Amino acid sequence: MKIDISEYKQGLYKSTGGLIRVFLKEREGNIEDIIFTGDFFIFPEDSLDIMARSLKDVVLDKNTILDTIKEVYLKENIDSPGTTPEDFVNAIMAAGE
Amino acid sequence: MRWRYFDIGLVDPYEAMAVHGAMFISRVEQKSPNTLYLERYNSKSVFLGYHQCAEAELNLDYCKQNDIKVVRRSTGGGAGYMDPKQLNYEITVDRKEYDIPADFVGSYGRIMDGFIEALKYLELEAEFKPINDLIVNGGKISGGCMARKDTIILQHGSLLVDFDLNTAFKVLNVPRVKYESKGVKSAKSRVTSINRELGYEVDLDELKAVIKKGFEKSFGIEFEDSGLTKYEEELVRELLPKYRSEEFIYRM
Repeated sequence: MKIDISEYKQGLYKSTGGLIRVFLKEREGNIEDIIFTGDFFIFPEDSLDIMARSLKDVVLDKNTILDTIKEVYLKENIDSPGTTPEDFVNAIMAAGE
Repeated sequence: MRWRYFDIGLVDPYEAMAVHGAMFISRVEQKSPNTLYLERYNSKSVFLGYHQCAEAELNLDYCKQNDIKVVRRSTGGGAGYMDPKQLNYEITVDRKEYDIPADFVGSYGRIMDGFIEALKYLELEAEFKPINDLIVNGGKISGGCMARKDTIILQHGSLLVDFDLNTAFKVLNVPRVKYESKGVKSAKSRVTSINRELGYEVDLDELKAVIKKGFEKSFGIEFEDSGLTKYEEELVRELLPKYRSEEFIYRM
């Protein structure tokens, strides 16, 4: 999946664990597409794609997004040293601004 | 307890990634011993973390114009610029055999103990700075990454014997937000090298010898020199096309 980054809004947020760079496509207040990139660590590695997929068509609202991400953390047993679900939300909201 | 010591010397960076993958898979399948592996890259290369966006993090035009190979790791973490003047390591170990903590920072720090011991032989005082830096006199001298499966850890990282800061900062787009939070004027001032700290050029064989001694002391082990197993060689051949493919390198 090669991204044409010019089609996306970009959000940067620095967590203790690294830099989160989010690419966001928004449609009528919802997340149309989202891609998480960055230099943080997340285990298992592929849970990041699952997190992105679970946010598709979710309303661009801080609490709704946080709940969705927290759910994925629990379900996928995610360990992301120095990076929290809140950090991902901050990166998304930075892109949404 | 014996660990394998394998120094491959100068290696193609794509092949190196396949070697890492092969040793990890084989260790997870309990077909290979705990290992300390050393390598240097035979060309100027930049290594993207698994989750990084190539276009956003790198100056791809500069890489192309200057024959800098763009490589992607299977591990998280940040991009690193490398040339033949760094010594890179990989360790594969079953953490439960050595009471290595289960959490990322704990296990990373425990493995860094080996390098901290090693650098003491060169009279350098290093400290681990979570989550994945080794620091000498306030400057980063090593960075790295980790893969984990079951109780097996693969840790891979660099030792900046010497470092071409100027090229590195032309290759990498380092966003301001990345270093502002660390409270220093620029990202450049955060990086140092073994030669710079020593004030002379360390002999590579001497450095390798102290790394072995450092790990022997820190983990109470002995090394046995050896190469890849037949199975690992097969895995390298299987994995190599992926690491060379544009599809993987530019996956995002």
